[in-house]
Amino acid sequence: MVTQLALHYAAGRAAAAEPAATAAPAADAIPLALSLEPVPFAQTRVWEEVAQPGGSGALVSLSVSRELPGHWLAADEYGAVFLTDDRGGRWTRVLAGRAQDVTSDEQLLLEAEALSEDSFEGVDAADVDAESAAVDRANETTSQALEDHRNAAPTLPPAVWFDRAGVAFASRQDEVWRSTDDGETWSRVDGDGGATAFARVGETLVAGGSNGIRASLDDGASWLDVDGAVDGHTVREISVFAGKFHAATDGGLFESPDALRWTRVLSAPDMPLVSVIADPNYPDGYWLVAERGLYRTDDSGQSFSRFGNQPLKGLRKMVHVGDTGHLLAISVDGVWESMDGGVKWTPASRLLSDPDVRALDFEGGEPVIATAKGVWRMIRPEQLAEATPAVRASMPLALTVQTALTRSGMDGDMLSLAQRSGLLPLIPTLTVQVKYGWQAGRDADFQVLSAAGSRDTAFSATAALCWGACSVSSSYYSYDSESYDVQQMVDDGQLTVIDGNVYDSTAVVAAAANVSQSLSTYRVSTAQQISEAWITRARLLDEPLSGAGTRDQVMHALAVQEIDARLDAWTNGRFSTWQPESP
Amino acid sequence: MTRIFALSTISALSALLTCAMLATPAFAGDFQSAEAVLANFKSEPTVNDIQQMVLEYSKTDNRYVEGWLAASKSAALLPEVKVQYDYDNGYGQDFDYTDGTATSETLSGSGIDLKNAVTAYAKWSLSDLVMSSERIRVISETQDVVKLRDKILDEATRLYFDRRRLQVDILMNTGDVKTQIKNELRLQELTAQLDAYTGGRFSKALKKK
Repeated sequence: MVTQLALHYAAGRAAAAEPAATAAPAADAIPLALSLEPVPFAQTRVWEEVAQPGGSGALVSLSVSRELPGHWLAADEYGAVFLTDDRGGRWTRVLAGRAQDVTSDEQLLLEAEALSEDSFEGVDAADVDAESAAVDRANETTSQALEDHRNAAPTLPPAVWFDRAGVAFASRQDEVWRSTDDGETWSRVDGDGGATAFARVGETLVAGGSNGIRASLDDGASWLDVDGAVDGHTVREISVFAGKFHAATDGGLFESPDALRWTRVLSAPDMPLVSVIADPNYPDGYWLVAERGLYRTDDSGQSFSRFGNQPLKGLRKMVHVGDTGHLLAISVDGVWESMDGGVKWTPASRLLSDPDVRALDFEGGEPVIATAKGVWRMIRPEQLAEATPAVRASMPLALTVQTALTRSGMDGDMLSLAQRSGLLPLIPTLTVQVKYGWQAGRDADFQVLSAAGSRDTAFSATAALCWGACSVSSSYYSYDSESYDVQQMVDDGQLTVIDGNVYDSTAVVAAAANVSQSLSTYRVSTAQQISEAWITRARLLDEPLSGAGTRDQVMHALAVQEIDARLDAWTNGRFSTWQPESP
Repeated sequence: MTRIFALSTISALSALLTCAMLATPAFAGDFQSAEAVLANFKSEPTVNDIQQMVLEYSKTDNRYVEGWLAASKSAALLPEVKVQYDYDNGYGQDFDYTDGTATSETLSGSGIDLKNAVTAYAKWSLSDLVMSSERIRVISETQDVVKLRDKILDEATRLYFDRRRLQVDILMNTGDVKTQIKNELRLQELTAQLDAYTGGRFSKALKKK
């Protein structure tokens, strides 16, 4: 299955520019620039932290307005909601969070301490038995308090969501708040249950919380409980595709044709799910994301199978980005990216110093995330140092990488080795034979006493094309044990040693594939090293040096020179001799 | 033997110590700018010079790689050639038999037949123009050369700048005499390492300039 899908995506790349006819609304909502050659974010972008929203708690939710560029909402764990209208340049707190003088852990410790003190009240320290009984009581009461704490219903994390036409929602504890002016002012619209996930289809708004599904038909002014199978489960995400609502919950997957009647998808994995994502390029396919892995169906949910080559820890959300098979996932361990529909994952966390990623959204096709400590956006490295003339005058990163990867021995021509080797059986062998001969003969007849002679010359040329085995040969099998001299066989051309591996000389394709793979790996590694060096250089050039001592200035200059020299080594000296073209 | 070694070690250290003490190091305050500090090393080879020396010594220059790749491509244009010469000398006699026995044979005729032929065969495996195991082997080797070149250039560049930073430290007189001796030894070590990567060309260039 995995291989089949990988092949499907490999084949699908060529058609990536064609918009999928059955694209899911959730995916439609993300504005994307489709390209013929899908490029991973990790190769062309780095993370940049924007201004801190300013709350005291960790951020847990983020939403980007589809209609107003640069308008983002963020919520922290205490329910404080922040708004920015300039892509995170400046944040304003638009809803205050609940009081948080102590954390829940600290509160628990204080409670335990008070319970212990109560147990010892009035106990005479000299009375050993009484003191022992007090210790037992203290242990018992604090254990009970701890147990109660563990069994307490989990607190629903706050959530924010930009809806349409200036409407936004914020969920805190068991309340839903609404804004009708793009997040500037808020009013409470529902006090009967919070929500962690929102979705809209037409005039129907659906929200999922800690106790199932709620719905609104008046733009969220009032909410109604939807009784059904989802009750009792915490909804983590609601997606609408293939004419159905899908809810990923802590009790598995549920679906509904109309948001009112919900049924559990029994074939789905029986485990807490965090995301359900449509595959716009495969009408019957979608993914399920659990905290510890990925599942996929290709038959509209009749069967699911575990997916992906590597375990992904602490997944929180996944989205389909737009190009065929291009997925982005966030987790407790950073941002991950797959270009083949989830088979292989690579980190997309360059310059992201806080890997605990809580929320993901998109602004103009570029990812924006909220981590526990701040908000980050993905940018092209060139944007890092837009204001620095020295960086602007340098060879751009993309060109630097391209120059390094097209050096002799590294270029993409080599990458098509295996592909071209597949053509070999179709190419014939050409044999040309030129023959020149001369012949002289004489016959004598003694009976009639006559003699006759002849002299002939002949020239012939033959050209032959031959496919496959071009000479007749016979073989037989010998069952006697024989010893093989590998070196001799290499010398005789029967075997070939490439990169330490021994191949049958006729197995050119296998050797070519191996060499191609090795080259691809090195190209990726080189591209990463170059990107990091380039970005470090840009940062160094962007550093203000005013006020620095002479020694610091020298070391700074040497650091830049060293990176220049390394970039020159990768580009055969072209980095430092590059001149920007005149406009 | 041991004594001689000990004496020579002591004299080398003494020389270093003397150098360190007699040197008139500048102070950080003596330099107004980074350019003024770095100007002290203008007589030394640049990092580009070092990289060229490394490439020359290690024979990993790009032109070698390009040459191998070009040769592996054009090699397939040459055919497998076979030249064959055939010589056939035929001689025959005809006999008549009057009574059917060997004793009655009479030579009635004879013939000779001389044949010469030269044949040239040329065979091109056209598939080798697209790909061959030899070409893959060359490509694999060129990849190894590129990797080696990247590695040694990176290492030589690092050594060059470690050495330059150390020179700046020595020039700007940071540290006591003991530190200066340590720095001098480290400088010699880095110089020797660069010599190892350049086949001694680095020291030669230092002396020339």
